[in-house]
Amino acid sequence: MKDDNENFPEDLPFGFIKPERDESLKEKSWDDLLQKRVPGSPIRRRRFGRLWPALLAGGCIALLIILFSRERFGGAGHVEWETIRTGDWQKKLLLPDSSEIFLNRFSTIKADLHHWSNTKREVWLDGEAFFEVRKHGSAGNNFSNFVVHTSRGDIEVLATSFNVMTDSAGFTAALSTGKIRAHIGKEETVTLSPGQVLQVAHDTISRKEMNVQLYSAWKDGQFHFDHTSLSDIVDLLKRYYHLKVRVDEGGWLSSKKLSGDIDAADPGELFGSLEGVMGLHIRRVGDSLIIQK
Amino acid sequence: MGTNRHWSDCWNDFRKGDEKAFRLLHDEFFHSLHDYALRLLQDNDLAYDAIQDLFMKLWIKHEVLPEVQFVKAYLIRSLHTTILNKLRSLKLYELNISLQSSIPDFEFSPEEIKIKEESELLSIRQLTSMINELPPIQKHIIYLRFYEGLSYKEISEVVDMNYQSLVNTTNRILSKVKAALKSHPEFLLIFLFLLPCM
Repeated sequence: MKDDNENFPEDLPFGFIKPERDESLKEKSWDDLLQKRVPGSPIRRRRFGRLWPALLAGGCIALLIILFSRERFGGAGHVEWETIRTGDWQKKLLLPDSSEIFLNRFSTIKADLHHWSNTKREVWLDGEAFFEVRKHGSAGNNFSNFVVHTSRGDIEVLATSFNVMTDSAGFTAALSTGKIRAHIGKEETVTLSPGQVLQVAHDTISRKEMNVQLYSAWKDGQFHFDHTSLSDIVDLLKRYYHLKVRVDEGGWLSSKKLSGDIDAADPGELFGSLEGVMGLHIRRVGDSLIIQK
Repeated sequence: MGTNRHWSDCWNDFRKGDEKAFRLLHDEFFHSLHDYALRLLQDNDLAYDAIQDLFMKLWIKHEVLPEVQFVKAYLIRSLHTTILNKLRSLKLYELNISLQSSIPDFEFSPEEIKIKEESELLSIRQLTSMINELPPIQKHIIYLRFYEGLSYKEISEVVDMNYQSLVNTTNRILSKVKAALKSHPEFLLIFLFLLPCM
């Protein structure tokens, strides 16, 4: 490296003290690269490459299963998918490894529960769910391979509890405890720490510190507001109850803010509380909600 | 450790799809790349993710990557591009990065700088702020040359500057720093003189 420096007498008047190197971070980085569960990742494919005769045989069997199975899931392959769908209710699911999923209204979860193993735990989500993932500390650096797939990217879980909501533009993930990593597209990775919310909408990705409890309060029939504007509350009502919301003279929406907790087991109770607290008139007509001052 | 030659051979193996070579490259350059990413992004998670993105991208594209003479310089340049892309897709408001410019900048702290001859804290602080006030490109050069130990040939692969002007720029920075350090005792004297009045 000194090859081209001879003509510069470089008595540098100062130098740098380098920080101590964390070798475990390097090891972790390599493990993460290998474990990356981005679909179609070449590293994985290579590793499977040696197994391809077995895969081929498995593939034939899988093909038969697919032909006979009731449910077929887009391109994902050789397993029998269990589909759990909610309507205007919530559902709590207990997975074979004792992880829990709280599925919100009008959401779908698909998972291969028959072949659920501690090394391969993956679910497909369309809608909103809160995950309470159990850790599998069996093999040293082998973190719990729990992956939530969405149409816009995958969330890799490193033992944790978090909320995921998908919509047409992308998804929003709010992390309560632990650590998760989202893979968006082929090359983009974003790691979340507790208290952070990741929002993927079309081509923008944002990560911010938020009150994450707000994002998962639905599962306890609780609504926690913290300087939440009425327009955000309206968005929440639309999302949770699949209602059309009409607001008369909507200009005042964002200026009205609410802080506090509301316990509401059903939509009617929530609307009643909002009416009382914010001095509004809320009427439900079929699948529409009309809000007046 | 190894020579540039050794690493460009390793790079060629990696381009052919050798996973062992890929791991060697990863292990050899991880810390340098991580230091670089951390300095620009000032966030541990983002820096880590940038490294993951870089190596993932390299692996996906290994067949179409060019032959390179200076692997470390090539990796740092690629990382720089990865970081810029990341910043573009990630909204800036949540980052600690100075919002004035969209170009991430190098910042040094007095704790990491040592002065050869004497070690008065005051002059280290002065020196640090002097370096930090240099234009971004000059700080980039200082980082690559004196922190990372890259040669001028390597640096010219990372920054868009030719060899000669690179050398000239560096010498200019150095004489500026030396002049400042020489004049320092007087500065200190004035400072001490002023102290009682304050």
